[in-house]
Amino acid sequence: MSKKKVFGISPDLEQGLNQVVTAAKNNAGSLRYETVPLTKIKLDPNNPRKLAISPADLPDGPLSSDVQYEVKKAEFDGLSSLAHSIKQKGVRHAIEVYKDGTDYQIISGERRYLASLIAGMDNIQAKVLDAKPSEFDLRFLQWIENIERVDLNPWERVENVKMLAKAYSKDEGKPLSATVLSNLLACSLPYAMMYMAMLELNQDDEIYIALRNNQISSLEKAALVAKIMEPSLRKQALTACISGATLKELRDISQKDKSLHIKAIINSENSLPQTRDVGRQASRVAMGYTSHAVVVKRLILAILKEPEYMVYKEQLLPTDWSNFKSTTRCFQRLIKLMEKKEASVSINA
Amino acid sequence: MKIIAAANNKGGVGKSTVNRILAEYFSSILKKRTLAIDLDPQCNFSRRFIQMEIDPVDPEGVLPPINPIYDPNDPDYKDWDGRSSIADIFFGKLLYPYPTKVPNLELAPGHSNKLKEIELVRKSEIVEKVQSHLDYFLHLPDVRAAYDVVVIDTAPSKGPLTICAIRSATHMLIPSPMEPQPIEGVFGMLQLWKQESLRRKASDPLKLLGILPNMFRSNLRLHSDLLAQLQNSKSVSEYILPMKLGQRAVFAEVDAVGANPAAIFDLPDSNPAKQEALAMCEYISERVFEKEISYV
Repeated sequence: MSKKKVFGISPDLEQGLNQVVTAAKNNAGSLRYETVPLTKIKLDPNNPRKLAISPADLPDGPLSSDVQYEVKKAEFDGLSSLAHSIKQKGVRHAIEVYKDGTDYQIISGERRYLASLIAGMDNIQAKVLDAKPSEFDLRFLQWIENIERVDLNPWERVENVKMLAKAYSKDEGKPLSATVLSNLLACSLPYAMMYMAMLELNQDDEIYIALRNNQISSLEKAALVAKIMEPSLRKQALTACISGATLKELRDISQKDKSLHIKAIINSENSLPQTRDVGRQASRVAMGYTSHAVVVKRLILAILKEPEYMVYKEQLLPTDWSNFKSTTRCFQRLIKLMEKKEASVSINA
Repeated sequence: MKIIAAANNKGGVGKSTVNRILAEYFSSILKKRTLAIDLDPQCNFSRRFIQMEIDPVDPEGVLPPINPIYDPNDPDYKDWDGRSSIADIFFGKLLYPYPTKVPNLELAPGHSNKLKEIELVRKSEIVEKVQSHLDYFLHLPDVRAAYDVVVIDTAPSKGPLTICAIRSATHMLIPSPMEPQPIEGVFGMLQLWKQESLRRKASDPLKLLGILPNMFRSNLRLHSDLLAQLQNSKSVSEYILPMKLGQRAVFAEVDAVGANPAAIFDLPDSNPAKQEALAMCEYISERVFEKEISYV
């Protein structure tokens, strides 16, 4: 009598089956590509990567009577070669849009969209997100799209980060920090700090104005000049920068700034010991447990002694400190009250 | 309106048999207004319900007979020659469903020649249009108002018509024998499910009812071993239906001309084939007609 036969499907096939099922379950709805009529697409007015040219100027190009004719004509010519290739092969990389009522708002792909209009196409391939992404996600996606382009000038990049910072603080309820920014943009911490320094510039600051007028060639130079506190030295550095001074030359000027050292210490994200985070970024403080209720009692009573928290004494006391549940409840209530009160205050204030 | 497609690009695995059982169950047992659609140029599904005619133009193929509801003198029908198939919707024409002997069940029959034509389109813009057209059609208000459930039979292929069915379906079932080559086919169908799943809106998913072990022979080691392997396999196991349809002569016998009984559900309750069919249909109905709880 021969050995009992055992049958199976090959391990590869079995693995393949499992992979497909897992992939389908985990990614449902994430790869929605549609062919969208161009007429239904709208541009995001808040995207800093703003071309002067608009759908109204297309498909024939800007009118010579247009105030911005020079700029628009340059952009139009730039788009024309893209339009030519789109006519032949279509848009190779679908644009990203989100559904806004019956229209589609562009997240990324403005140039491809405009070039498609020039090419006289009816539709465009688009990856469709069902709902409008959060303000932050939107800006971040646009940042990723824009920053791929080397031709974004320093001012455009600063403006982009500015919008990112605004959206971040609105979404997260706390201001953007250099550490978070460096994670988002996958750049070094000093580079992120440079962006942060740029964000602090006033609208009427000469450096800001010079940036906007495209007079400063790199952000590093602008940041260096911005760090200089002493006004006459600052002016000197700015003039040198505009006339094309090298980074080294600007550094030599900034060394003369006596207040630089003090500012470095006060403004210190990097003089504090860095906690190297590994693994997933923590988004909140863990508050743990304790069996010593008296510890919590002392914390709560100490806070309630503070002038702005005295008013909550009636709401929170008396509490039965010998009962864990009521102590917990009291503590949690206090935390909620504090979260509301402290929402607008920066953590390093 | 629920739309169910039992699909498999391997031939002879029992798609049409399963689809017939489902269509009859929904209509005669659950009393739901059911539309059966035949997208297979071979028209086996259609033949179970109406008498198809040889196509004079294409002797290999068949076409639907004159629709019983047709009246040549009726002014509403003046642009109609009396025959209607699902293929017509792809050519911009109206569909006139056929009544069947089964209460609450209507049929949109196939048409060999026309379906073959559609299956052969290659130009990408047209393929795209074909693939989305059934979905468009089934969402028309008239259609949605007329039926509670639609059962779609497809050809053993992954061509435009099968994609059509998957694009419009709310639920997909993969019947398959528990043998190595057919299971390779299942792998391919799972890929289609995945592809379609990814491109659906979250609010309108394509739910996989699962893999139905079909034509099962319990005395065959091969069948039981393979089934056991799939049932113990990480992610796939939850999609293997807990019941099977056995390799039973009666499933084929009920299709024969003059068969008595003429439907599985007319067999006595003690009949094993009927029990298997009922178990499968109940399992599927529970999942298709569930209350709208959202879990993926």
